[in-house]
Amino acid sequence: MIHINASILDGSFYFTISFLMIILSFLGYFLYIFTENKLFSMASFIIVITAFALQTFAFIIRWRYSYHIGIDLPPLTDLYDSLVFFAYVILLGFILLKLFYNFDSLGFIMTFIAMASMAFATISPLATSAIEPSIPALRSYWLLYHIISLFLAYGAFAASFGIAILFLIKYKQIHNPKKSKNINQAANKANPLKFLSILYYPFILLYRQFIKLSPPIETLDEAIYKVVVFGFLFLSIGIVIGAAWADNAWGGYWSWDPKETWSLITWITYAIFIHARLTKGWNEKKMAWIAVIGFAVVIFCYLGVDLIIPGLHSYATPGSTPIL
Amino acid sequence: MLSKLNKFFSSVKLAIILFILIAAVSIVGTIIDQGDTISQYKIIYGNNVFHILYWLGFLNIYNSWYFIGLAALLILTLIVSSANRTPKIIKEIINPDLSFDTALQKKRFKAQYITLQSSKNTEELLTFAEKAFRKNFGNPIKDIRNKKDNKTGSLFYSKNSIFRISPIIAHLGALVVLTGVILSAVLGYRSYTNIKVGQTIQHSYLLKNNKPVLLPFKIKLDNYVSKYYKDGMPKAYISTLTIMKKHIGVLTKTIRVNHPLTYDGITIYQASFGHYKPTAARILVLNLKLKNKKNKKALIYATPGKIYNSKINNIKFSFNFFKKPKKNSIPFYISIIKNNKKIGPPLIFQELPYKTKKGNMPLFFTKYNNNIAFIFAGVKTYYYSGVEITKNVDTDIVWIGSAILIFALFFSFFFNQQSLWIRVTPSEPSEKDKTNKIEILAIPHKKFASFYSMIDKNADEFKKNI
Repeated sequence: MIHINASILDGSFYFTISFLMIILSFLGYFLYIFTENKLFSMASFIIVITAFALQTFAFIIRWRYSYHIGIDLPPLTDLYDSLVFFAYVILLGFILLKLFYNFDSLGFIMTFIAMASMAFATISPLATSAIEPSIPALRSYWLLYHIISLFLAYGAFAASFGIAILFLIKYKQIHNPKKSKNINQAANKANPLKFLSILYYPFILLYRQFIKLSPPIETLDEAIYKVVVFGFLFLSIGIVIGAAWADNAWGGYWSWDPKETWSLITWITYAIFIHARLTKGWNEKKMAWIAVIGFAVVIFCYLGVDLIIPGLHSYATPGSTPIL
Repeated sequence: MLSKLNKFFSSVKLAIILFILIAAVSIVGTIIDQGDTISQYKIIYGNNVFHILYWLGFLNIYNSWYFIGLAALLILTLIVSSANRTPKIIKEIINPDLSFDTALQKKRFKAQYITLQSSKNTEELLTFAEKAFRKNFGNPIKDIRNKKDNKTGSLFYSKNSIFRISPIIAHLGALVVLTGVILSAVLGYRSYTNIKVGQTIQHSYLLKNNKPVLLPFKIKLDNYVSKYYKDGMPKAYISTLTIMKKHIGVLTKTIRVNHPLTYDGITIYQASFGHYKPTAARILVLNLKLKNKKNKKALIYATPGKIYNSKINNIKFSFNFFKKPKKNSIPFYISIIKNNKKIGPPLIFQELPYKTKKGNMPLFFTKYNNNIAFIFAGVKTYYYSGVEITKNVDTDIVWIGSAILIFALFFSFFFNQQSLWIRVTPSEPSEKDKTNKIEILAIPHKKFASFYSMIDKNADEFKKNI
């Protein structure tokens, strides 16, 4: 049976409400994409801000509760905490991006990622909202800084992924006008009443609307770069803090633990992105592809490593206790 | 030849290829468990696959020759490219090439080049230009006006040019980190040992190959405690250690996870805990004849098979296990020994209910001739504390390098160099209207759309005035 995490005591009830709000804002952006009515995007953005505020409140509740029951740690230690926090930084990233750029179409992608993360947190049996005592290794003031900087990086990489998708769609249209014209024709030809076309018609329409509503390609290119370097900076900070912590707790700043290694691989991927800009013959399209691949690496580093490879960081595997 | 090598090692493409290869090798290291024992590998992969993996170096991949080789190549690239670029960039910062024409030719691909015509005179035009671009560029660093004819003039702006050095510093930071890593790999070590409560040790075993290391001091484990939450989750593992030098305790400190002890450049971390397989039973011997409580009982740690003196009527006994214990029966017994011979049948233990403050506990009890009673009071366990003993040389270098890297990344990402030229020249004398030609050349360090729109905005403001 599916158990939904919704307890007022530990704050997960408010997170669940914010999850419903994120679904609502996603639907709003969905309607905006198809109707081009600014009212929908504005309403969705307001809902996103409210959901963000509610999550902030929920974090305070959860933090206080954690101290109240004697765990004495910020609520950032298990899978539920981390998924909720991931959604939180994604909303934060989107709000900031929306203030700097006019990114209504990005809302569709960002709320989708936040929604997926919240859904996993709320419904998945792997994630429970109960605050459980943590293993001794986590009992450290390093924890907060390590996790916050890494999640800021993850959020930035998620945003760069969303923008890169918009970029690639737009790039294809500009450099392959014939093909996209075909798609337009296909969209016009597609008769929603026929069974098969019902399946692909929305995607073609979505694709067409994305092209129409996205900012100019140069703006997207700049935004990808700026968001990635922000993420890269915080990824570097997070890795260094983690290394310092490991040096303090385990006796060495680097142990080639799978999570450590994958964080290095993520770092290398985005280092390639930054250096690729200086390489002749590497155009913006390749950069956008690296941003997309980079996010896949991030997701593997964040969740894949925990669910597939056991190691010192396996907080996501239920019942597993890492060494100390 | 040398210049070819130089060019090869300072290319960004080589760096990218090395990055990709290092990442690929690292992925292999996360798929195949590193540092297991040979027998474990043979169980997981089978004999043949094990030999292939061993030959490929996949079982200790981060110490393999090719991984170290790739890292060394990357370091070489880092050094060569930094050495090549640094003098050029420093020269450009200190002594920038202010020539309008060379800049236009060289940086055409990312420059914004605008030409305008105006009938206003040079002096006026330059004043307007200064006004229009002041908000984003500040004051011009070079202002050339030909005072003789008052017809030509140019302004040169440069913003954040000093921050062009930050990528170089970032690479320097990375080099410092790698230097620290190499130094600690060569001069330091990470080792591991278990210490029994009460035991003193002076050797530890290297994590990478189990070779013993002689420590410059002895370590005694005075005490070990595990603390638990109410639901049984471990909360803390605490060891009390004494550092001994020439049989004298010089420092006593408790260590737990996240709170190690450092002495003489060597750090001791709480890593694990456990107990050895019990080797002796705790046997409580009671003299049933004696009413005086003082000498009534004695506790003896009995190793199975060995003979102990009960100190009662000179009766000796041994604690033994049945070779083939019956089901649901107590598997051990006591033999009474007199003159080195076993007497009578084995004394079989009985289970009696026994109330303690903590609740009901079974009591294993047996007696001999109504003289002596033996109570089995559990087993003797030796707790040990697993500690990691590390000599971390030059970790400070790693932290300093990381700090340099992060600060330099911040400045190189968020402080971009921008240069701007504004040149006014009279039009060709052949043209009928005696107007002035204004050229605006703006060059960003990075091709950002926001930069070009900012220039367009400023240029529009300028246009309004002329």
